[in-house]
Amino acid sequence: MGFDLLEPRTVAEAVELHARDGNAVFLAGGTALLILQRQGLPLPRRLISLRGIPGLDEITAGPGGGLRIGALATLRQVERHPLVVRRVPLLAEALRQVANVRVRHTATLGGNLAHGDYRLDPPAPLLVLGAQVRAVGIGGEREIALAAFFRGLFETALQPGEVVTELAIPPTPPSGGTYLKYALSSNDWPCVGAAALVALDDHGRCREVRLALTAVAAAPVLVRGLDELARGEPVSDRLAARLADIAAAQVEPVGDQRGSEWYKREMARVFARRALLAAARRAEAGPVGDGTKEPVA
Amino acid sequence: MADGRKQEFAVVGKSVPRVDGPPKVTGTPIYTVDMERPGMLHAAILRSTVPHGRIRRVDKSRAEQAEGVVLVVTGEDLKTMPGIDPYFGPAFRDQAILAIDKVRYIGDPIAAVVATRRELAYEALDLIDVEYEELPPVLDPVEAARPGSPLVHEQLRPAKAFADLAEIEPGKATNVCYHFKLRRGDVEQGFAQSAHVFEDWYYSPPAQHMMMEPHAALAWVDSDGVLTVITGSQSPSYVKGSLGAIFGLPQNKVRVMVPLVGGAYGGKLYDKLEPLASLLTFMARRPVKIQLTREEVFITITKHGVVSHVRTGVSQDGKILARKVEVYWDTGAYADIAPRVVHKSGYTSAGAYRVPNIWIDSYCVYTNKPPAGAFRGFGVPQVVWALESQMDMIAEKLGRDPLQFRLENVLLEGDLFATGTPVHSAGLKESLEAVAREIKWEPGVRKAVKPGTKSGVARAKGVACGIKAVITPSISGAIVVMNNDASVNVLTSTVEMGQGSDTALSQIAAEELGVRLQDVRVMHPDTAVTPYDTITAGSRSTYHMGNAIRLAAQEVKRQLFETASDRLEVDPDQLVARDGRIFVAEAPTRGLPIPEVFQARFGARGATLQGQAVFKTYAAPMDHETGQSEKVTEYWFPGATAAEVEVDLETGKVRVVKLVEACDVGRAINPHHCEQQIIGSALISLGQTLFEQMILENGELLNPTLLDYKVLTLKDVPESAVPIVIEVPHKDGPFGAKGVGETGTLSVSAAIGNAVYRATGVRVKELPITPEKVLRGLRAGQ
Amino acid sequence: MEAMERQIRLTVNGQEHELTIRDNTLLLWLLRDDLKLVGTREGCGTGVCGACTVLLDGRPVNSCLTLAAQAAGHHVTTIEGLATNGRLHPVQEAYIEERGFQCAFCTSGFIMMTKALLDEIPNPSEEEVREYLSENICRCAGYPDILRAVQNASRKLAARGR
Repeated sequence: MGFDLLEPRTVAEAVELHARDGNAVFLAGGTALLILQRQGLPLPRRLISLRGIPGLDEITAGPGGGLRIGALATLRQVERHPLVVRRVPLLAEALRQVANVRVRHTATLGGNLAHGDYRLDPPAPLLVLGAQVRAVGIGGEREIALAAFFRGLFETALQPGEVVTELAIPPTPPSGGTYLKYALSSNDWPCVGAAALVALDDHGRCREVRLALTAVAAAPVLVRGLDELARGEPVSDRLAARLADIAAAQVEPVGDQRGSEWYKREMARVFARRALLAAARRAEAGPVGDGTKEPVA
Repeated sequence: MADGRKQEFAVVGKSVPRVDGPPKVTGTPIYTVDMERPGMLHAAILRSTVPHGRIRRVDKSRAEQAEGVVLVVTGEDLKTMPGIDPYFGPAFRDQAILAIDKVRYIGDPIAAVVATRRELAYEALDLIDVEYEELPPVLDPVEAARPGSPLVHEQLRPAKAFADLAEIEPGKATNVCYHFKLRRGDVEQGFAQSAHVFEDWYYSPPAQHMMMEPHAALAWVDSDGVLTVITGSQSPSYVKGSLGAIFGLPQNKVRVMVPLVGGAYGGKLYDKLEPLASLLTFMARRPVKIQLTREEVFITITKHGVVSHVRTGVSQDGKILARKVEVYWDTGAYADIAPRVVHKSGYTSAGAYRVPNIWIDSYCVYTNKPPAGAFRGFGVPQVVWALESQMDMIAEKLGRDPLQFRLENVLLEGDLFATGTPVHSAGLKESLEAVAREIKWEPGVRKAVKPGTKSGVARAKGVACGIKAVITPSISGAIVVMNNDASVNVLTSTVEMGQGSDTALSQIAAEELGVRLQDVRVMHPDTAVTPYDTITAGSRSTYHMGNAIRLAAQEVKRQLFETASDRLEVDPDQLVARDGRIFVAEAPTRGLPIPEVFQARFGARGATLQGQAVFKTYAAPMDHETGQSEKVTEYWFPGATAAEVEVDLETGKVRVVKLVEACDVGRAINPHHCEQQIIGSALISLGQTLFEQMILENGELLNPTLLDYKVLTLKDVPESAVPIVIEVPHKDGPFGAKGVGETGTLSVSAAIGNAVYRATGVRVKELPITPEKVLRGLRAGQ
Repeated sequence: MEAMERQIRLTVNGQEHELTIRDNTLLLWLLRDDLKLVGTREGCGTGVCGACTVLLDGRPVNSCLTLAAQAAGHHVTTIEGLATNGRLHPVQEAYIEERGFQCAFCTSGFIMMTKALLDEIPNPSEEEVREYLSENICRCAGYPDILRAVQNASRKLAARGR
């Protein structure tokens, strides 16, 4: 069905437009929305395009380290940005595995998060990086921890009329990170995606372990309770396996064509372990993060 | 190929560049979807949302008022239209242009909207209201075949469109629209004599052609009343006949033109959108174009889902003594060409081996699902999957090397096929040996390795082979026109859909006429001027159309020689045509350039010489109770696959490291194109082996887009993918050539399945071989 | 329910156009139906197959997932814009030489993606080619020839640059 495209020039104007028509929907890159339209989901009468708003796609260094990524930055922009590649290579690694170059040139990071699809890749690395979502609504601006952002199937913490404007990634400890995407064919959605971040102390023992899984529950899962077991322990296959068991117990997969509930839980365990070990190897080889010397680009 | 033979020909046997290159890399309008006519309207189709039901009421009044809408038509309207017989189909006239009274699958066309823009036509579909009285759907082909099952079709009208299907008579009150039987020897006695009897069920799921260009048709009525249709069809001659029958038109008032086709693989045969586009142009009195969305293509035609039961008896020394095969073909709501699929795959269901006692029952069964028809391989890959998986199970039980076991039993020149037909030019042994060499096959039983408890991968090789027969009888006509500058137009109804027929047929014409490749232009089908051809499918064009072109070119040559012999004062039979000249074979300097021959014969600018020929093949009649025939086919195309796989023992995921495919092509007219066909079909089969499948639930397709229906891409291509061209020349083939379009599809799945078994001990009998199935097998085995 | 119409300006293959479109018009429709640039083809409509690839300000995008309005004020390059003065672009030549096509419905998309790849990485490894072209579908599965075409095109462009 046809729709009207509204093109505000400021965030305030965008929010204002939504306040006038509560059924309107924000449009960022549009890739997901146009697919939904094609699949026959009724689209609203009005789309509020955010693409014409200046400054929403900037990527800058955060105060005291970390990064700020404008919500309208395309996945490709983020993936290739020198600051991202240097400070959070984990994120770049994950984005490189999303769909294809064409989609990544169009789809935006903010749009990706707001979409809330349980199979998306970017939420997993952003969860382990402790990202914060900045959203603006008619009532003002607020920050939402990404860990509290995903509520369920296509459900986020965003209120109607709220726009994601920015993503803040806090400084990361010197660490190794990885994102493993396990798919049945090379360009499929993940059966499971696993992002891990491992920080080691001077003796090579775990200081901090973070793990997030995607496609194995109605929303991306940030695994809890790993540090209690891991802190101070040397990295080993046995430790990784025990951590993976904790992860497998926290996922609630819904069977889909990429695997039954049983299979997805098994794969969550396998890829949690593999991701943790791969991240630990990277941490050993040469950690990156705000406490480390940045490699010369 | 021996060096001596290479020099025998000027153009044939050489990997000349494709003749259709430039328009294909520049974005030139070349496909049906690119075509337009002044005043053209666009149509969209409203489709059933229930798998089985009676149509109570269709209310189109709101849609008729929508922006840009010119016309809305329903099946109800068809009932009262004079002079139209709305039913079509190549085997049974079981499908209506728009559903009449009843819908039979989710996606069955109910109504059509014609509008000024394509998107407006689609938007107006939402404004049509349909009321159904739902009927119980039949979804499982084995259950649907049982007496008492709800009926998809209450009555059937045989179409009588093709000689090989002329005798089909459906049973009464059954969903089994065709039952193929083959009886040879005494199968029970064979089992009684067997040391071991193997019995297994196998499954191959429905799949999508996923041709890149969607189905499309553009129809209009010319000023002189000729119904003209541009369509991406593999069977223009058939479509011409079918439209004539539907609309009661004489055959010279129907004109079907086929430009280049953006892929087909069997999915663009017989009636697809042409009847509807024609109906709508008659009603709207303006040109009408229909182009399906990808989601619609998915449910328009599919590859059969197949359930097979295979029982095989062998002697202790490894001879196959008896084989009983029962196959259920889930053909969906309409038969399309399925009876021929079932017939042809039916008689190859005992495999590529010498088997004295055979019993085959192959059932074509209606269900309330999207229709299934031809798909590259024409049903044989589904059967080979079952047969060749079981061959490895037998070899293991007998303690034999699976390659050696095959080589000892495989059909050789002169052996009798299951149909009692002697086999000629079937390089099965050569193909098996070639793939084994390339993959460095290590002989031995190689029992399944016991998977370790530690994480890791297991690696192994597997092998399989298959054989398919070309459709027989069939007919190809060609007209060869030579212009007075020695350039040539070849008029055929062969469809260039990517397989390289324009190039191969040009090579054959150039070779026969002794002109350069660039002097030949193969014209695309236009039934007003190009002669009849059965279909462009079934790996038949090089052989059949190649022969027709050779014969027609010889007729042109005969006339050239006639004139030249006067001039040169020699007998015509002493002349040859080469390098654009006609000259005395024994004295090459005594000759004339072709333009001079024309000058001598006509003395007229623009003069032409024509030759025409019809090449027709014959089959010996087949006994309907036993499936026996002295000559069941014109030629065989055999192939073999070897695969090396790596299985992740923690995930069950299979990675094909190396894939080798060898196919006997008779004689390669263009070796590089043969390699493209061989590896292309093998790679498509690789995708279908590991992940491709249409997932249906209660008759609804759950993965109707490429977001969820995954096909093989560059990243899935094995590090090593090797095509091997085997040449066992056919005595009647043009320069010895046969066909190669499908051979590479036959045995890939089984070779991979066998390799997975040898690596892990897990035997997957239901395609695709997903990681989950393998992992469950690994866990069960622990 | 009718969509709003709007006027847009955009540059396609170096030529400026001013058009009236509906808000929901896709860039793909604008190219094919309005500008008759039919070399850009619709394969899947969901951004997966790559047949509709065009360059938007030099970057490859799916024209089936891009609103025409989103291209307003930007530069679009299609397959028709590659050949100059009747001479094929080196990437096009390479696809012909290596027979990197069969039915060729995917070819415009492959060629546009190859151009984008080589603009970005002039001498890509096989791994990089496989990665970049990982979601372009050739259902004839002429992938081995396509891979060679990309490598050939890379050599051609390098030679031309020298």
